[in-house]
Amino acid sequence: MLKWILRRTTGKCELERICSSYPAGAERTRAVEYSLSKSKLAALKILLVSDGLNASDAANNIITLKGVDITRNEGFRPALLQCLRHISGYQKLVSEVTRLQKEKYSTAIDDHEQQLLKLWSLLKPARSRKTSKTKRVGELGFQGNDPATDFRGMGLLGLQNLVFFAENYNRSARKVLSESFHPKFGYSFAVVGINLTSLILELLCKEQLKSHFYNSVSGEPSLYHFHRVYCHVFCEFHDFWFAEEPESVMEFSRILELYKVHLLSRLTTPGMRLHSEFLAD
Amino acid sequence: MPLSGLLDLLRRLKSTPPHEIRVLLLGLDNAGKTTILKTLAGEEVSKIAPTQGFNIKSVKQDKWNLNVWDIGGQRGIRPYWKNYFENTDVLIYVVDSADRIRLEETGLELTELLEEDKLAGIPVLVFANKQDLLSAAPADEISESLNLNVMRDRTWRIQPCSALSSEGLEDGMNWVLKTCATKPK
Repeated sequence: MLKWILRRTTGKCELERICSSYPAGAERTRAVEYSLSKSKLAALKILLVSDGLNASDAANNIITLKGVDITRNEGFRPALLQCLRHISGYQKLVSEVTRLQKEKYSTAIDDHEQQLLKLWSLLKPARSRKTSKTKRVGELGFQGNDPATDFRGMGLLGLQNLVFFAENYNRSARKVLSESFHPKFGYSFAVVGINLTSLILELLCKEQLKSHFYNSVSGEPSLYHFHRVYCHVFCEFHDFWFAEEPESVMEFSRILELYKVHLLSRLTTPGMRLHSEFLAD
Repeated sequence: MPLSGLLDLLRRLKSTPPHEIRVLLLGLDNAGKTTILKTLAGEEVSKIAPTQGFNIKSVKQDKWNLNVWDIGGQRGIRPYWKNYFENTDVLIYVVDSADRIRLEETGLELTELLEEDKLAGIPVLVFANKQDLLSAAPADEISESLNLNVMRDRTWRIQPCSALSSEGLEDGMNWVLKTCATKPK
């Protein structure tokens, strides 16, 4: 009823009102998302669950279905399009990341082994390529001789996160690795890295990375953006860990939990975006 | 026993709060300790990362409150195991039955644990995990490899299981509860 009155008096549908009254970013996109989820039109609701959503087609559909006169409201289509790109990008990201997480690391697959070797040569460039595998995985902070068992529930996603970090922020990654061997506050680099993959995967699936992505990415958030959040979180956690001066590595779960609370308190602020060298444009 | 004594005993039994049991979950890395812990707690097990440090969960079963301590099994962490021995009621030792290469290593770790003063006489349940894998060694083979059959100083049991499918876990935990119920506190 209220919507009907507003529609009559302003001459605008709800989506138009959202796009003109909220600033671009998480607030607007989330309001559009909410409006679509409550829509009586099945054709609109389905946009939120379809995996291969084409944002441009969807925008045209909405304009036709809602009978919006875009000559009178020129800003509407681009604003709506951006929201739909955010929404579809996030959905695709969740399925892509989940697919990688489910892909088990296997020593029998050459591509997997090559990625692991690449990680090692990026992080330990001075070491000979002839170093035995056992030694290599030890120097990267895996638990045993077979890193496959460490990737465990995080699968290839854990490895790709680490490779991205080592490749794109090489200096930071090497610094973190070398400090992870600290005699008092040391930890297992790769094992902690895999635990951090698990942390941000959980945040992504619980929609807790939406505000950050919607506020910081203008198009579709993608795997690339996810990897960058990983780099940010790894370095931030590393500093957090040292600042806590843990008694031993046995404090890991407690400190990770503290860090998670600290991170979540920021992620849930509507206008927020994470800031660091890893997330700069 | 006079009638009043019996009534007294019944009243006391009725009002006892849930019994706390401290369970220590140990074993090599990748044995499946965290998966067992999460399965017992009814949680999802498809997204587990290696344990850096330890996890703890309280699992309620009937009138029992099991506080399960799951300690990382990585070689670098094993020296910390002893910090968690105090007041342990039951030791659950988890073995990856399919990891035949490290069967000897896991046996040595268990032998060392059983020699610890703070764990003297504590009942031991060995979970021969990952029985869902084709390459898994059967429980009797593991029992032999771990020298369980010569153990005389405590009650013990070996239980084949699959933490992923939860098969065998209940049988193992029932043994734990029964053993704790009959043990003088």
